Amino acid sequence: MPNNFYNILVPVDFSSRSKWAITKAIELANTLKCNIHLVHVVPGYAVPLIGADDYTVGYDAAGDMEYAARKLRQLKEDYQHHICSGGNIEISVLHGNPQTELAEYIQHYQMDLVIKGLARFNLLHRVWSTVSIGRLARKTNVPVLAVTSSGLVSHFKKIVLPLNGHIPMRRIRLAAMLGRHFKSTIYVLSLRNGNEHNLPLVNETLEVIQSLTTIPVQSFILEGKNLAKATLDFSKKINADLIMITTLKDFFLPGWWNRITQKLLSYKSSIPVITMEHNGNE
Amino acid sequence: MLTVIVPVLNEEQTIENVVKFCFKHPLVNEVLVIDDKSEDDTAKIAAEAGAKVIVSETRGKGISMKDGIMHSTNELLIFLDGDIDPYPVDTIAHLSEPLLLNEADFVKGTFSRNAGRVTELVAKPLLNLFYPGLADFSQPLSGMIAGKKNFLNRIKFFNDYGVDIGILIDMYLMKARIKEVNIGYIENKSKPWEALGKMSKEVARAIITKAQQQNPSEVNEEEVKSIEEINRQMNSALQENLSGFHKMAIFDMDDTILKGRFIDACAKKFGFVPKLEELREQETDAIILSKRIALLLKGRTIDELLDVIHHIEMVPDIKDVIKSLKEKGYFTGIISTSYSLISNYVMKNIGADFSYANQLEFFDGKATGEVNMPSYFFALPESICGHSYCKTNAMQYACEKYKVRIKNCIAVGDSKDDRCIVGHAGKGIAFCTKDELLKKMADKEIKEQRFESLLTYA
Repeated sequence: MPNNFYNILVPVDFSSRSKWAITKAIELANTLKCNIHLVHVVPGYAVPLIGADDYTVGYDAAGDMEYAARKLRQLKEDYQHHICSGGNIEISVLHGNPQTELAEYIQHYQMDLVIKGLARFNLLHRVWSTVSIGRLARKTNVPVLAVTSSGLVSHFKKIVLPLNGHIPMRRIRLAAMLGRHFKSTIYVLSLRNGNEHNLPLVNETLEVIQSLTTIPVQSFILEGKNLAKATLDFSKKINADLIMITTLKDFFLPGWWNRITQKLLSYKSSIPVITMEHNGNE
Repeated sequence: MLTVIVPVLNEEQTIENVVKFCFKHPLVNEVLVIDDKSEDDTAKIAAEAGAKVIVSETRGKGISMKDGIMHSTNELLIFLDGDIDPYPVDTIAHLSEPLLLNEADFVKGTFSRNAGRVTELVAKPLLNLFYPGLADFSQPLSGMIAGKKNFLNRIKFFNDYGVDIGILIDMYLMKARIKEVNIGYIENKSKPWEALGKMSKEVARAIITKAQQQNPSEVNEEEVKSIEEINRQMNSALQENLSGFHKMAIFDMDDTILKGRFIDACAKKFGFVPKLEELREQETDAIILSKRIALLLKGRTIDELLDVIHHIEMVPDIKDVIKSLKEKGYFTGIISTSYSLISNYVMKNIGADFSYANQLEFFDGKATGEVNMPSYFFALPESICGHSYCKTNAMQYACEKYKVRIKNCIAVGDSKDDRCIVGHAGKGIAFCTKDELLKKMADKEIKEQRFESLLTYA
């Protein structure tokens, strides 16, 4: 099935998180028939390095880069035979500020999705990851899928799409595309604001989804004050496979500390979460 | 003494200087200009400059070269192109010296320039495979050559771009002593890409034909298969990667390109406005509605329908915008649920590349009332929207045909029917629409009846 996905990027730091992110990326690449790019960034002096064998840098990071290139080649060798859809695994070692280098790589090589592994128990890392996911999505305008070791991405049968005051066109398009592949149902969620219903927005969103696709869609008005929390609770209840959010504060977890640290709902979710940048037409 | 042979076609700008340049060499006593029936004054100017002009009976460089050899009176022949001016001063000296010193029977001139694409991508790989002895020639396709007449007489010339490589292979097979000499820097005009395709084919054909003629059994099947596989893979990789650069702009026709709807204009002219309105109110299924509306046109002639479209005004800047989009590298097209007779008329008028629409059936020049719906409107299993009958399916078809990614597509529409295509395109544009939801679904909205602002999104 033709789609808008050609390249998936997995930032690799050689931890177990990276490994399950790669595993998830392979599952997805096999369904969507796309390529996977494994990219490691050696922090510091910025020199891009593709094809590490041919590159020499007169700098002590050269050793790190050589080592990283070797490990990436090993990863490629280990995982290449898992790809069964005709896609490829590309590897690259970059040098510089990780966020900047990744953002440049994403723009330059036209990545369509980034997959990041989230630590299960290391809370500090988890906080940092959710912040960096938001930043990366904002900086690159590319969806970032956060997965934990438990989240399955081999199928996205139930896709949850919480509404925050706009018709989320970009999320709908992506959900419609994934939905056609995985024969999913889209669950549109909205919070009841006091006595006010968000019904017109929900209805319009349903109409838009039906204009774009034939996949089934259901809508739910949820009680509660925090959209992130309500979405998480609902998703757990229906055993959802994917939640799609934006970087807006509506998707921060409740509490002042969470707001300050910009903790997106992906921080607490064991279900895979796709975070997209919110723009005018989202 | 030396004869210089210059095959020409419409080279009045340069031929005089080329002929004069040849006569500057003390050993050149004959310059033959073989004219391929030029439509300008090439022959006259060449004759005035002192050349002997021979008009070739058949067009083509190979035949001209053969004619030149036949008419030459010297044993040592030099071939130069008629469109190069100036030649490096010592060109003739460099080309003739190995012959005069009897160090070679055939001399191939090379010149400083960037590597030719056909040389590097077509000629050299094939020579490597079939004639490894020629693989080291830096410019096997160079047309500046010199040779001994008794060798050149025995050559069977190709009459296309394969001529130069054909001569080189024949010389090699005749075991002639071949020398490559550098004649210096020449300003070489790049060929347009269309010519490169033709050249690639003819050069490849020349090399393979010679190899087959020489010894069919030696053309290793495995090697041929490996070339085919490499070619296939290279082509697929190119298609895959180049699709990232291709772009497309798709326009709806009624109320978008046209200031009005074709069927409404027909209804007014042929008097079925109430019937049309009634149908639109009653029928919700798009396919059945199209079929029932087509029945209203039964008996109308092609001329009558074309006369209707002729009187519908178009958005004034559509032609300019299509032209600008094409200059920016966009394929442009119309996807409409109206009729192909009309959309093709509009397409030709505005200079678009394609139009996809339903086909109204005609018999004896009159509409039968039947309408055929092309398969590209219907959903395939790989349809991105899944709608059974939808413009998005046609967009997907166009994208596959023109190797364009959907995210590189701009779709412009105005009505509820366009929601899906506008929503799925990389950039969806709502054009003067009254449909509130379409406005919200589109990436941009154009409120005035002009397409100019579209160019800022392209």
